[in-house]
Amino acid sequence: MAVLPSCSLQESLARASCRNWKSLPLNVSSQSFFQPRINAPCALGTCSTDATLHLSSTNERFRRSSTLCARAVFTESANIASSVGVPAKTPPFHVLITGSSRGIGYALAKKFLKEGDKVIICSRSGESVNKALKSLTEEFGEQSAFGIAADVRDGESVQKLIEFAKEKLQYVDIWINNAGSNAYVYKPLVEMNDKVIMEIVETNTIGVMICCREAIKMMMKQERGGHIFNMDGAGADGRPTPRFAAYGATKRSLVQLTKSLQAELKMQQIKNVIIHMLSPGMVTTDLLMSGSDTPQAKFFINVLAEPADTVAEFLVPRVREVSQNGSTKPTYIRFLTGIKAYSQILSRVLFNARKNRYLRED
Amino acid sequence: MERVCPCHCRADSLHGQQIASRVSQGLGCLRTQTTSRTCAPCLSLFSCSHSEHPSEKADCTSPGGTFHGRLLLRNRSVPSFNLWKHDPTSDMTHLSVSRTDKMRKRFKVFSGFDNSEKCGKSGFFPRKADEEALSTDPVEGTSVVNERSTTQNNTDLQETLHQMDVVKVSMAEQGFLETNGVERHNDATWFQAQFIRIVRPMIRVLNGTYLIEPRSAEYEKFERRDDDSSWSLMRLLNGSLPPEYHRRKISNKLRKLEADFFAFASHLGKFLFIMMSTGAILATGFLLAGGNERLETLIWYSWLAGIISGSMIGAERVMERRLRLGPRNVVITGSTRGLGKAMAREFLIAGDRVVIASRSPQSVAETVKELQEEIEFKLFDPSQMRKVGEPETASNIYVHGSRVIGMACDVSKVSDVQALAEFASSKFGSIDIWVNNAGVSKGFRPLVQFSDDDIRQIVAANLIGSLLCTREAIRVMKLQSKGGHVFNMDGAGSGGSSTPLTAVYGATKCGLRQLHQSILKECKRSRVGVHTASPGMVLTDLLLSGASLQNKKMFNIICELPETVARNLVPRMREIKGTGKAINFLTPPRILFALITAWLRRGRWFDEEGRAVYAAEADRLRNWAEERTSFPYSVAVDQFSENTLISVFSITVICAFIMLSSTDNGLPGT
Repeated sequence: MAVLPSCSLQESLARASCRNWKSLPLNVSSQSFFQPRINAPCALGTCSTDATLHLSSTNERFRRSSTLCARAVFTESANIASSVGVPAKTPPFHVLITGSSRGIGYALAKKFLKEGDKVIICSRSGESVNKALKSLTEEFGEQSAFGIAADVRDGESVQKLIEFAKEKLQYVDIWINNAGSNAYVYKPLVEMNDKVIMEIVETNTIGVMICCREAIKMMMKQERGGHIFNMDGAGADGRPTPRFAAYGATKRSLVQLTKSLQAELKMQQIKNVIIHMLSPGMVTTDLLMSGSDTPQAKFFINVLAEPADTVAEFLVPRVREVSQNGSTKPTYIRFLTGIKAYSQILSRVLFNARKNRYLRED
Repeated sequence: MERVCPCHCRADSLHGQQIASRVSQGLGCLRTQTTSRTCAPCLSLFSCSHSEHPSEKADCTSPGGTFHGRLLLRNRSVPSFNLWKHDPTSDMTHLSVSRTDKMRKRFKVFSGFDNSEKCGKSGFFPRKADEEALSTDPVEGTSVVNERSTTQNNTDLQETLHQMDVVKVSMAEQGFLETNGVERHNDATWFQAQFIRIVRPMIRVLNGTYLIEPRSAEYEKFERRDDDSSWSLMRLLNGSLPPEYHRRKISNKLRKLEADFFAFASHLGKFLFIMMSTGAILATGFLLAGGNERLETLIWYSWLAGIISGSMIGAERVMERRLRLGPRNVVITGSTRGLGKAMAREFLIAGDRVVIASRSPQSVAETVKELQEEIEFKLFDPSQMRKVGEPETASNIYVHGSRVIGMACDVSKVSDVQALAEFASSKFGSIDIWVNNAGVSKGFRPLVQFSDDDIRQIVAANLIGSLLCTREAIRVMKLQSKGGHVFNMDGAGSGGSSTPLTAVYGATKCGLRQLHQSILKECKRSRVGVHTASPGMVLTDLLLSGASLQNKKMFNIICELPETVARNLVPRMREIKGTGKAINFLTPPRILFALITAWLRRGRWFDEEGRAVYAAEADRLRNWAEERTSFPYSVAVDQFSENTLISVFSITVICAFIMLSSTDNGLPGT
């Protein structure tokens, strides 16, 4: 920890480096930080077969390895599995993202399109889908982005979505359950409106359950198999989320659901469908910003939140990587890891970094 | 003769699996074994009451078309036994269904939870048929087609019934049983039965109840034969008939005496234990002091100080318990069956006022009625039973003020939940404890096979229901001067571990745990306590619906009956303080114990083929009431550790402190 300040001093440098994301190794795992694989692509300036060397060497190198660590993909197992279940696939991928007319969903869709994949976006309101689709097609052309209005809480609507996807893309490699809601309300549970509670639970829990079910049904039959990603959120680690208790409970339940489904698929010996978790951390979308009315919330948003595009830049290559190498191991891709969060909080406390970054705190 | 279970059991239910074999053997329906009935004239298995249609009428006609009688099934909670009565004037056979206190009491004696008996002969209980003839209760239980017989005087009815029917019915049923009564054991249950047979008397000898119930099954049989064959009015008149009534009275007294004696003995034991432990500490002190007079006086003083402080701590605890003794007003959601019902019953026994809530108005009404009857009959406390024929007054309807009311409530509907909260607080004035027990699991299968509706219902009941109920309860309790406590029930998956095949259920329960943490933070400074209660694994429909054979084998080891769990949880719920507590039934020592004794637990609830071998609810209640009157070792230990060990510990600490400080000063040369 003694070297952490130096890390934060070069915060700007770190941020500069994260813009050239592609140059960073995509495959680095928590294990490989200490015992890196030989075949891991090492795109850092100094090629490292021993990352611990960096730690003990210069500050510059430490900075890099800490960034590397912070942005690492924490796969549950680093081994690249044999291509028994999901065949290693070649891009372009066919991606379906729910709730993607704005926010992080939209940013993800944009990033996937940038990488050359084909994307289906959907949202509850047809209007916002059209709007989002329009701006996407303007940028990336008519034949790569498609959109349909779908309500994830409704089984029939989800089936229609799947039919639409089959019609336009034939198959789906990556399905991201991104649709989530906090109804833009931050209040103690006791003061919360009934409709709000219903909406939150129905969208976040029932919606994801139905989507997972339909996605598994569809991907089971696909030759290429498929990967399902569930988005986590505040409270997913079991920590309390006062002022948005219902949201936290639903997100926590998703983590358990994902685990159960992983076990279930194993039990049923379905090897070509894999369910993963995706953690965007704090993203400066409406969902988060509507709760920024207390000093505490403002503090954390300034310190920890990132714009949706930054998060998407981080997540998309890793999601694609999972699909590309045909791994059968479930992964948990996190943007905001614990180490990173703590270092940012520390740098804020010590050096006032990131103060008033998005919101005025006084 | 074709025998079909008339209760239309669902084929997928636990009950449905067993019924075919049992019915073909002429035995009763297993789940409702105590209430299965046979038509005496034609000996066909007539009907078994099922929880879904508890108050039904059924007619029995022989294959030839002769009308045998009408059976009125009532009160599934308290089993009733049939008596067929042939009326020569109308050439009709009447059935009298009766339910009596005396019968119930005697029933306790030989309906021990004994596997061999259950497997072999549980279809119907020929012994009980004449049991009930000894006295009937015209107020509640008797329902006879012929109206005249109900209007008869109580004692008259008793005699006539006995005179006319007992011999016939019991002989007929017994004969039937002898031809059909197949002793069915499998190895595990047989072993258990033997084990229990050996151990049970030993326990009885040890705790002293052996003397009080010397009636073995053989004795009973002998006695009955004697009664049946040589019964006559003459014997009654000349007094040679065994004075059943007096004997029972005496045995009742003995029971009471026994309870008093054990209460006294346990107090004495506690006192002796404390004295001995302080004595031991004293002795050690003297040994350490090694004859130093100054030290010895110090030790005496410290001993005195320890006694004083210890008794003060103890007194404070007792005072607190007394002060907090008053009845609590309890709301339990999903309490028409399973654990919820068991908890409601347990609260009622403790003298609380309970609101029953469930989705179906019908089952709420039934449950309320059933619990109400249990209170009225004072099933829980034999000494307080209302005498037959005594009019109902306000004072004897309720056991020390416990009341039960009910209301239909779908926990996932806001209006229903609000109505429930209003209903409870308007009827009782306040709500002290709110238990979110309602839960749905919809069976074990992969997510892909769950329909939209299933998912919606599970999430609605478990997550939305708990959210809305918690919110409503907190709203109400915040305004109360003494606050209140909300309990959310844990379930599989609460800890975050995976729950394949019940993914949706597990996810909701996991979400609830996080919700609990959030609410805890939100209600930090209020008077409302938010807690979790974890019942572990309980043998209820929630768990058993769609359980595989493999699952059931596991259930044998770790599962418990709802009554057992409720009995453990409820006292702790009543006396909870603060907020954010977790009440767990399945604690690590308990799990360890279960695993160690896993071999003995084979076939405890389910046999090799996955059939249930545990008693039906009504039957369990009786066994359980019997257990309650005796003095279980585990309860003693619980009480012991809570109150005395702390005072002993405090004494020890103070003694040690004083001793150490004095030895430092007293040692020469330091």
